[in-house]
Amino acid sequence: MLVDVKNLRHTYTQGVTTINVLNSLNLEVAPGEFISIMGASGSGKSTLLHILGCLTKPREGTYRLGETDVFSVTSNELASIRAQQIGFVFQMFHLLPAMSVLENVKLPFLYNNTPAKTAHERALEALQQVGLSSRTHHKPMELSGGEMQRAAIARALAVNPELILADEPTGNLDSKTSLEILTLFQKLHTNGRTIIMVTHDKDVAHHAERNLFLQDGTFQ
Amino acid sequence: MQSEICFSKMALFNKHSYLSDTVRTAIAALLLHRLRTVLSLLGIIFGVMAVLSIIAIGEGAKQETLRQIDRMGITNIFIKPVSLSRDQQARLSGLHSDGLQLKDMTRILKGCKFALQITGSRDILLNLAEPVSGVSPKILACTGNYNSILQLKTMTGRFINDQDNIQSNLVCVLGNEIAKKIGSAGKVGRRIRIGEKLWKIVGILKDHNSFSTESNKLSMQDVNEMIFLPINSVDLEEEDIVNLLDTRSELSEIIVEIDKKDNVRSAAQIIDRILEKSHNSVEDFHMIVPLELLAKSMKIQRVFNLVFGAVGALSLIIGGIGIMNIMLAGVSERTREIGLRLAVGATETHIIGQFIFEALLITISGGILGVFFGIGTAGLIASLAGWPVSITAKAIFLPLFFSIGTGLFFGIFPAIKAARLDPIKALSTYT
Ligand SMILES: Nc1ncnc2c1ncn2[C@@H]1O[C@H](COP(=O)(O)OP(=O)(O)OP(=O)(O)O)[C@@H](O)[C@H]1O
Ligand SMILES: [Mg+2]
Repeated sequence: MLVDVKNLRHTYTQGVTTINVLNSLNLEVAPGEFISIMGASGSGKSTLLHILGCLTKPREGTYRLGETDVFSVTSNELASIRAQQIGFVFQMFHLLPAMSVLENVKLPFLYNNTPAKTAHERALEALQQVGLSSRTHHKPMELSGGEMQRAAIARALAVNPELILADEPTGNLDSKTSLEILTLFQKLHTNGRTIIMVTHDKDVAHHAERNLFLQDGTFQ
Repeated sequence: MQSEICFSKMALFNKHSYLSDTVRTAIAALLLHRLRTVLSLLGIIFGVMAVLSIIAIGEGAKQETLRQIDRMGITNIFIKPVSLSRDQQARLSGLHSDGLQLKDMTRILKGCKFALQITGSRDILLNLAEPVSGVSPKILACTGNYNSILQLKTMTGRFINDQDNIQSNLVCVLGNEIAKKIGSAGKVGRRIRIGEKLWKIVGILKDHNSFSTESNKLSMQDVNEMIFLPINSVDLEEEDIVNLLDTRSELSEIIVEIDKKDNVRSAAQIIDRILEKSHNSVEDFHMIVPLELLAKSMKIQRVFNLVFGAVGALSLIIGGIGIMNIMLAGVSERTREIGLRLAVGATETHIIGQFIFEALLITISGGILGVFFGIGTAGLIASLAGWPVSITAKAIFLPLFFSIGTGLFFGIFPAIKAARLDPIKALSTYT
């Protein structure tokens, strides 16, 4: 298994109220799978993805990513997992506006000891995979929504991560552009990538190979 | 998540790409808010400028003092007669003293084992019989070793020696300037008329320039404008000095050279006792100890440095607070950027490095500008106020290091604040 999550529990505390978001959740992902996670708004999809992306530490549970017991490592090791093993795609793209598309894609390489030359080649390669070779020196503001998301996917791809996590990657795109992005994910899947995609749209979810439904803090 | 800042790895310095990104990001961030950057830069510039010129002035004053005291000789003790007021004279009630006498010299040499050599001199109120235009020489009668104690060097001929005094020779030594002004008549072997007598020139001194400055109130007169005579060759009566000065002092100065610096203080006490006894406790003399003047001026110097250094340091601290202010503003403006960098794998150290670099960029460039302006200011003070100013390495590097320290100190808090952001919260911030 690439991902092995057991007994995950997570709560948010706001003042006196505690929200139970995830409860005794288990998840196993084999390498090369393309999984979609559906669920109502507020069901904890994003929270789960953040935990899988080593961005949030849950209250309870264990998480093995490959050989690593994620919750027992230091914050520096966690950062290096984020830099090398995980590619995160956000609904809001989150490209840095001051940098060119190419520089945005190269960003993760700054933090994982990659020589500048290699980083450059790998970033160009990733941009080619998402079909953005002609826009490398544009600023994100000069791109369409779909192109921005493709740039963000290229950034997630470039470091060659074991796991790609996408949180509503089509949430800000129209249906035609959404289809483009989903086709791209399917292509990446065919190439052997492991992808976990969160969505609340059935049609989007159907592009994945396995569909999971999150409700009451756990998979139904 | 475990908060652990790993400085030990120092991985950030062997990553060319991280470094260049850090430099570019910092410059871009500073250029984005030019006015803000310039204002906080000013704080540092003024701080460094102030500290630099204060140190330069302090060092200048110190070196000037040292130079003056060095001229007087750090191992010398000067004794001068004091003319008593009528009041004081009345209170003496029968006690008697004749002021500084040649005899005092022998007593000191005998009584103070630290005394290496001793010389006495008297200002002579005679003048050149044939006045030379532009020349108003000061004439001094002295014993043979006056030159060796004050380290006066002759250019040609020799100085007054003991033989001259024993034989009451009518010889004289001219200061460099005097010799020049007198011209061909001022050569060794010629005779000049001083008072009633003709004196044979036996030596001309080297140019002891800048020997006296305005602040030099002590016995160091301008040697270039002096004429030296053997003290035994001049009669007190001839000068009529008794009536003029209302004092019976045979000498106007005694200089004692002490064997070594450590003994100067005890020697001064011993000499004071000897003179007190021989002068029947009449306080008609006073001692000047260059070593003590030095200690005193060093003390004043320290206070000066402390007070004004504190003022400069204060302005640097205010500059530092300005930097912290813009750094904090930068952190909250760039929360999303920081969140993203953390999300794609930046460690806390990476983020801290990025913001510290930004703070250092301001303080180091402010520091360097401050050094240039500070040198200019110090130069201006030197030329306008006429104070001696000395730009030492200390004057340059102390404020520079201090400004860098300010950057580190005031930059570290905003940097840590940035590094400790929760990436998810940071990414969902709207700015
Ligand atoms: N930082 C937080 N502090 C407090 N509560 C939070 C926080 N983040 C999320 N929550 C709450 O946790 C629950 C799950 O949030 P989450 O964002 O994971 O839901 P979601 O399934 O992604 O919803 P959506 O489909 O709207 O994106 C929600 O009720 C939300 O209000
Ligand atoms: Mg969500």
